[in-house]
Amino acid sequence: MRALEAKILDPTHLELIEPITLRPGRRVEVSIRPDDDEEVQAKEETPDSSAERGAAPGLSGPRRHRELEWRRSHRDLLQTYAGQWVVLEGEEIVAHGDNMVQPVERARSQGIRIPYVFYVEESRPDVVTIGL
Amino acid sequence: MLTASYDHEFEYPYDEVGRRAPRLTFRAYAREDAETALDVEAYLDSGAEKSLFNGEIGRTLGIDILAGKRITYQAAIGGHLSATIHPVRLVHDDLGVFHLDVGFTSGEISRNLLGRDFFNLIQIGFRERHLAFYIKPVP
Repeated sequence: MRALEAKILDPTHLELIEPITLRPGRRVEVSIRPDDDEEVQAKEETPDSSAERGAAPGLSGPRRHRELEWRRSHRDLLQTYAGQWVVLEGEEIVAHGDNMVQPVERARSQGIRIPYVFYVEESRPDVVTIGL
Repeated sequence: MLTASYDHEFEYPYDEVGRRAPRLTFRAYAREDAETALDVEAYLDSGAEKSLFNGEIGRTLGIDILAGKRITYQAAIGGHLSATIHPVRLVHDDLGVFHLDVGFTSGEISRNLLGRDFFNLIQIGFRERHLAFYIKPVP
């Protein structure tokens, strides 16, 4: 996480003091310091922040709390992808398909270095799953 | 009375049909020096002798799933599928790094399974009533 400075343009718009490389449309969390300082600090919110906390490469794993919570709270939406593989980044489905390879490749082409991919199972109330 | 202690507690995460089951999310690499990774989840399955992953995970990690030692996974209820064994490195944010020889299927499976080969590397307990499981990442 890093702190960024921004200028308030109006009640719903900020202008960053320096450019960032995040993809347009990506959501970030903005926090305001509780003191009298008028500067607003924008916190860059990444779904994979654990891997960017300075841990040695290859030694930190994914938390994906945000993605897991989104899956829990968007079941109806996800059922429209039943039977497909989905790449989810934060709260956005960035790619989906009948196999895993193509959505993963599409996600990587969009700059997602390590895609989070899962299969959307179909809701079948009278079916019990054993292992596979 | 026997007691056990664990270092980490996990809730059963939800899936998109509202069910909860014990599974973990890992960052998977094909080998120690690999840079290509994929975040995948796998269900903890004490009924599986050996871990089993969808072959397409292997492909996206650069593994030649048509090569390597081939074994057959036999289901208790009948049916079987073929897989090739390949070493992977699984990294979990809390539990650390695990090196496993995992079977990668040539056919489609919807769930990746962590079997008793993974359990052999940890201590694990389940409280189904509380939809929670507990792990100490040592054998």
